Amino acid sequence: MTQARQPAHDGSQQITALYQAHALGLVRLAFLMTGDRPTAEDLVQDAFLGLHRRWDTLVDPGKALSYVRSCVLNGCREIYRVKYRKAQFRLDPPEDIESAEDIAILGEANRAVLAAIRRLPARQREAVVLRYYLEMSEDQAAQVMGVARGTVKSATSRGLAALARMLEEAK
Amino acid sequence: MSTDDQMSIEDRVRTATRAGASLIRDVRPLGAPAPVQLRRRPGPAPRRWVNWGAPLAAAAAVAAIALTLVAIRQAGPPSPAASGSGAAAPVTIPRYYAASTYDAHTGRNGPLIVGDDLTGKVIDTISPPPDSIFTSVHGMPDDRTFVVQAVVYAKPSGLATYAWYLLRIAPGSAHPHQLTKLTIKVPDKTPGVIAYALSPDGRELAVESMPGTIGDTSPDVITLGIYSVSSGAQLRAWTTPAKITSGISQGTLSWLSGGRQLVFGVSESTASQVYYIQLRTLDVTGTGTDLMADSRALLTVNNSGASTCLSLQITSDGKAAICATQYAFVNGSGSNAGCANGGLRFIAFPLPAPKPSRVLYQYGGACHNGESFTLWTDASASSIIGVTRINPDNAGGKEAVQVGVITGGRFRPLNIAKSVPWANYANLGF
Repeated sequence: MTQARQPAHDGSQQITALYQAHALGLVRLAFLMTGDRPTAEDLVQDAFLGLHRRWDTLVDPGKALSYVRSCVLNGCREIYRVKYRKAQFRLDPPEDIESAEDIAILGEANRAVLAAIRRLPARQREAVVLRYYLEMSEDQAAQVMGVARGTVKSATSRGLAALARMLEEAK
Repeated sequence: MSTDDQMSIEDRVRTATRAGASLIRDVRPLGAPAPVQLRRRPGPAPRRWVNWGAPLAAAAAVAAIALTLVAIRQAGPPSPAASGSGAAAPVTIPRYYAASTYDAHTGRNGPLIVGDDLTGKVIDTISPPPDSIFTSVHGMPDDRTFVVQAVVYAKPSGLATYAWYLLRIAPGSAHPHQLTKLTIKVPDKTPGVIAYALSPDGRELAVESMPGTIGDTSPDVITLGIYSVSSGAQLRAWTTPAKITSGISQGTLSWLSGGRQLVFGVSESTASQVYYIQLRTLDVTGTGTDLMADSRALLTVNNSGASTCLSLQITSDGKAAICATQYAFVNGSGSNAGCANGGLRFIAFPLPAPKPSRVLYQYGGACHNGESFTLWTDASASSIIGVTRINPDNAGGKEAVQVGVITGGRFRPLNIAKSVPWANYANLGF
């Protein structure tokens, strides 16, 4: 009698399920951070492939989502680092991919806010997005960002103040 | 007081981020892990590869094609420039390019390189498969997908055939490229491929070919075939009823109208040795197999004299064709003054013809002879990536080759890797 194949214990099923459940949300998060959809998708794909490579060493599979989210945020930081360090001749900036339909959906006010968010320093941007887009508590955001709760608090406060200032200046 | 003023900054962030996130409505499937990791993993192969990696690796070709097709379908138009202050007026061009470093002049083989024209950085290098040479590259509008043509030399016969690959790049990631061989084989014996173009949906590859050895462009029967990317099968084919000179270059062959039309070029001379080139459009949904009878002329350009079109490329909106000229390279005629005063130009011919043409850019420096070539154009020909190759004198002066963006009558150089040779221009794709 042929034995039925055993279910995979390599994490592939869990990773697939995790991807199906959270990839869209993570791409949205990366998109808000980077403003570039292909980059956001690449970052999320890479984070999941990284999770697959490290599945054996993952102590708590329940923290897989946290791991992937951290990878995505790290990737966003790296993208910004490279972009700001090297962008001198702005020919095709990857931010603000907006079709006419997107522009109509977003509206002028939201576009201004999103553009201002992308101009924030990385830590402030992360804190603001995690707190007000993902509605994370300060403790949760601190865990994801790998910083102290107080750092999240101050980064959020400064980020909001900077946003208000930028939006006021843009009027 | 506006509604925005009444909202707290926190609520404005909430509203804007939710609206921004709502623009992303789906994601592409999870890609397969890179096979290289399977090969190099030390020790016994872990079960996870047996269960997940191995089946995916076995289906890698199909999966990669599927992923690429999804990516192409999801790709929107090129990104508009960012708002904000800046000295240089932002224009919209592809950021990434792929280029073959095979040097046709010296015969030296080389890898494919993937580069960033914004930073000048080479992102990745990809070695050609054994007995193969990467010869040309065709970029897709998503700025992440390329079709790469290779010439494969069979052993021991040395018979050359063509192969095509889909290259998907992921800049900034740990696996910056995925290269997948397509199963397409042009049926002619020892075909000479003139041009190829991937359809907008990524499902079909159009290949313009003629019998004869590679590089032989003497008049012959031309075949325009459409091949399935997934199966490699030839879906349609048209041939010319008589021997004819081919279109002038890779880049002339283009899909229009969402994949319902193919534009190709032919070149012919009259009895009085007046050369012309012609762009023709073929409705691929129609019946028939006669390439000339089933197509109609879009534009005919007199291509005689010292300054002639080296490339002729239609824009994706079908409203213009861009001629990039060469000066005195073909017939040895012309003068220094002529070369520097309108000899090298990028000219837009509005369609449908005839309408007055307009000069998009004209080289005005020292020039004995030279060439220009269109590598990429946006939908309306307002931004073009072109190459100029200038020989400043006829006394062994160093040739100057520049790739740049043409917009508003200006040529702004791009950062292209110095290892890219300029034996031909089809080796660089945006």
